[in-house]
Amino acid sequence: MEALNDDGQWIVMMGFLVAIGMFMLAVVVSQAPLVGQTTAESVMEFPKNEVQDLRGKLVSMGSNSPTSTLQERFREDMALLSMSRNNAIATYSIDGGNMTAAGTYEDIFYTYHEIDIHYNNGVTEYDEALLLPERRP
Amino acid sequence: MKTDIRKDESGVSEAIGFILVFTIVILGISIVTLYGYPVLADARISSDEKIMEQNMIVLQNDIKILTRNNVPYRDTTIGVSGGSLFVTNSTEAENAGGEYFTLTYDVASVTVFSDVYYPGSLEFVSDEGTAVISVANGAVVKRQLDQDGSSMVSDPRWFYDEREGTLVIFMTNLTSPRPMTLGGIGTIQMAMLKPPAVHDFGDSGTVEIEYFHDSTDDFSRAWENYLTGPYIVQSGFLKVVSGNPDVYQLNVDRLVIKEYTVEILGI
Repeated sequence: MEALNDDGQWIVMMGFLVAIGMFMLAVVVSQAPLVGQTTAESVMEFPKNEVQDLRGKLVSMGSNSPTSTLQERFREDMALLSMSRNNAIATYSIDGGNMTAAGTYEDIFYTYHEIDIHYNNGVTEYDEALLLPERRP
Repeated sequence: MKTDIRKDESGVSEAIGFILVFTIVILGISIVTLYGYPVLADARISSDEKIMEQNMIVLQNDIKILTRNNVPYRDTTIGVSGGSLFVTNSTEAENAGGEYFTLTYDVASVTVFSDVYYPGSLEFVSDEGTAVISVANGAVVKRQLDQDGSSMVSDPRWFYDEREGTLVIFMTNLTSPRPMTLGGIGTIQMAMLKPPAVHDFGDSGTVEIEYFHDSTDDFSRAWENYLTGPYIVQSGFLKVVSGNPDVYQLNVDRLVIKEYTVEILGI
């Protein structure tokens, strides 16, 4: 009886390898997570400019030691605007409330006003305590 | 005479070898036919449902972009496989007994605001499987046909600010010029041209949300889990009445309701 010719066995072997490879790929593809929102969108959603705007306004206002009535009106305007434009809750306090007395902290040259900023749009909640120096007369 | 076993082929039969190999092949084919095909079919159905779940999150995200980011138009091309996508607009939901919400705000036991919202929905119903996935009122909810219970796949973006005691609720209505369905690949065009109505109540009081489910399309469990769970406020809403409607309450210092109307122009 003629001996088996096994020269072509590598073809069968390669077939197996390719099949196993495809199976592995299929497993990997089926593991793809459920993503509807991309990372880029999440990054764009961070309200950086909104927070900066709010901060900028408060820095220019805080140093002028405004009266509490003015602060109150300004706070309401800001709350309304941020809710209607950005769907966000924005509020702040200067020197721990509406106090317009000399700042909470002071040294020889400056008094410091403490400004607390609170911003929340449901996704990002941001709190900041900012010390604003004011030169002593 | 000494024989070399490796070279002795006197007991080898080609006929028996053929029968053995042939049996193995036939057995292999029958096992794949009996067990493999049903598994493959199930896997296809469940992967279709998974893909649709993902598509619905994409649609929810589009609605979010329209309503929250002040973008007037948006269109998305999606492929619907293994089922159909239906648009139920707000008016249709109202006429055909669809689900709806009632929001009431009481300040010192006096009702200062009360309104009814028929959100309408974009709903996918699977043909071969049992999944029903719906985008309604900013949320993606899912249930199985002929079974009780439902789950929330993706939350609406209602939120509560602990520091201010403010609850912000977004109610999203879907409108469309006519009933629409989609099977296969299509582009969903959406627009939000009407500015949102904003209700802002500064006095502290009690918010009451009533959820009236559609008896043939019940997502009450999903909304219950969302409202009573720690997703909006850590302690959750209090469920005061069960049944139809389910009634939930929460005490807040300030309530903001924003009403959006998204128009589905075509699919």
